[in-house]
Amino acid sequence: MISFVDTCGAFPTFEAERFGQSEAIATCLTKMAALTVPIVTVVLGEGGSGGALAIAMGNVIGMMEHAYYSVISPEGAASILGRYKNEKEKKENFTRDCHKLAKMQKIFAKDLLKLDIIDVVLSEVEGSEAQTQAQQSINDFLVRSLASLSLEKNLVSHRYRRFRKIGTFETLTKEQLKLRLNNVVDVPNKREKKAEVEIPKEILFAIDKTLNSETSCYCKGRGKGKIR
Amino acid sequence: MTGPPKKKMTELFTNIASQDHLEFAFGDSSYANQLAISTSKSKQVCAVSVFLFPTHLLVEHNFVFMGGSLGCAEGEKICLAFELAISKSLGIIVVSKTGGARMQEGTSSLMQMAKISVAVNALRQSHLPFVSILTDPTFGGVPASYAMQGDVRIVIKGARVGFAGPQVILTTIYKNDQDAYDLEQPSDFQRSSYLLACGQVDMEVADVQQAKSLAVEICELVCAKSSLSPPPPPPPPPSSYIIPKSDFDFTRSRQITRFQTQDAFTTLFTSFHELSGDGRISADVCLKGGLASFHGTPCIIMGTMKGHTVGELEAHNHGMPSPHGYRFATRLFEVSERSRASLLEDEKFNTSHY
Repeated sequence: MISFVDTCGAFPTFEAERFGQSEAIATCLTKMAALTVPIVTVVLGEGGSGGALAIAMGNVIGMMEHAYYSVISPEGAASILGRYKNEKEKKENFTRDCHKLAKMQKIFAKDLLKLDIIDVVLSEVEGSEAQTQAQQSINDFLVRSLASLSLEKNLVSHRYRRFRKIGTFETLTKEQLKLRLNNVVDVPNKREKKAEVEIPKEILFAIDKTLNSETSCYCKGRGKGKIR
Repeated sequence: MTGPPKKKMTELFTNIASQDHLEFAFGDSSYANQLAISTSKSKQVCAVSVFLFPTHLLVEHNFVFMGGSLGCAEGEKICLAFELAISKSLGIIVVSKTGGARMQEGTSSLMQMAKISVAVNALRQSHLPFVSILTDPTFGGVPASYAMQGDVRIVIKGARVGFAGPQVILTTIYKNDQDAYDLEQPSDFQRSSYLLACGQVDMEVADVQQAKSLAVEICELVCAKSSLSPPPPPPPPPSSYIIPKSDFDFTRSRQITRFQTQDAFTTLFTSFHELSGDGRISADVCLKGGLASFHGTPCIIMGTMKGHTVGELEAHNHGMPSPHGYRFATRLFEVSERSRASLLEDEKFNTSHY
């Protein structure tokens, strides 16, 4: 089984959710985990989140040098972590933040090789040779990987060991755990963080008249509107 | 099941802690700082806790710690829980409450989905049950892996569960146009009732406590050993078996008063837990089934429903299943695999309570 990955992620629509997007991905993961034949995966361009992982559980995983493979697309990460106060701020910072986050999250082939997430970085060249060079290096990678996997007796347990070891965490001693749990940190109050938008006095007056004056339609049905 | 007296639960793997291995910082907060805050607020060093009970293992998400998200420490803990379940021949219950994979740990956190999936597969190969309880909210990488990989999926009434959350759909597909979004959003979108109607979960219960006790019942039922041995001698054929000389009339087979599947379900079996849905698109109204006990032996029962009244017949589509019904049946075939180990390895199970 050879899979090629180049997706920014699974389609985020109402219909996809309706038809069980998460279940579909989850089932792919266990089905791939159970396959008794060798799986080789090549991340060609984009490796976007769960939608990519769903077909990327290879015994051996190769990745093009300039591809990315991440828990979320850089744009997705920026939209969530950026917390832009308005469209203008988003426009100004978005592209820069995407690049910053991509670097921060270490989502390129050379980073992922160090983390044991992929096995081989497939080098790329620029210019007219790019296509043929990529074709050649992927071909060589597949031949080598399939040959080495043909020596494996149990591919399911090979895959188990391969994925089981991924992840960095701490194993604390009793003393360290106690210390960590008793460490007092100032928890910032979320409300204080709220954007202070200055509204001109004239506008405030106009809003107040609209909502709270005796002739306002908002006073009758919906109760008094409040201006902060 | 008549098990040993229930012992108090033990929390396990408490020394595994989340670590900021990428030195991630963005905007005005660093991941290291967020971890310190989460630890201080939750009195935990990781977003999941594992508890050992005499008959099962329980994994619970802690939402206060980094929104219950899945990082490397969580992945390791969950894998250890699955491995312990395998070595002790116990069922496992996972209660999810999470925003998904943890962005601050980069691709390593995505890989935890793969890591846990290989562990889920190992549990399946050991023929042990896994019950997933989905609470409010369960989104992203967690339902896209283990939360939807349970043999039985129980959702809490009113919970929101999905892959892409409303915010992601609004930004990605509707370019932040709230009106266009509101116009097209299905009613009850990603709520428990919606999931049930779409056949993505087996059952809906009122609260987590009820879900847990139901899950424990299911685990114990599946792990119960067979008590049907040796097979009883076949009973003498009752008189009704004797073929009557009168003419056959095939319409008799359709008589509304006949003994039907639902009668068999209710009269022949005990501890019936109905499962539902093909896991993907829909639930069938005709082909039904679930886990049950037959004279103390765990089994899967399934069958096509009809009815004794016109209304019942209508409700079961006159005994005709849809493709969703058959997909549901294949799911049940898979679940039936779970109980084999305890049937074959009775001794191992009995000695494994510690």
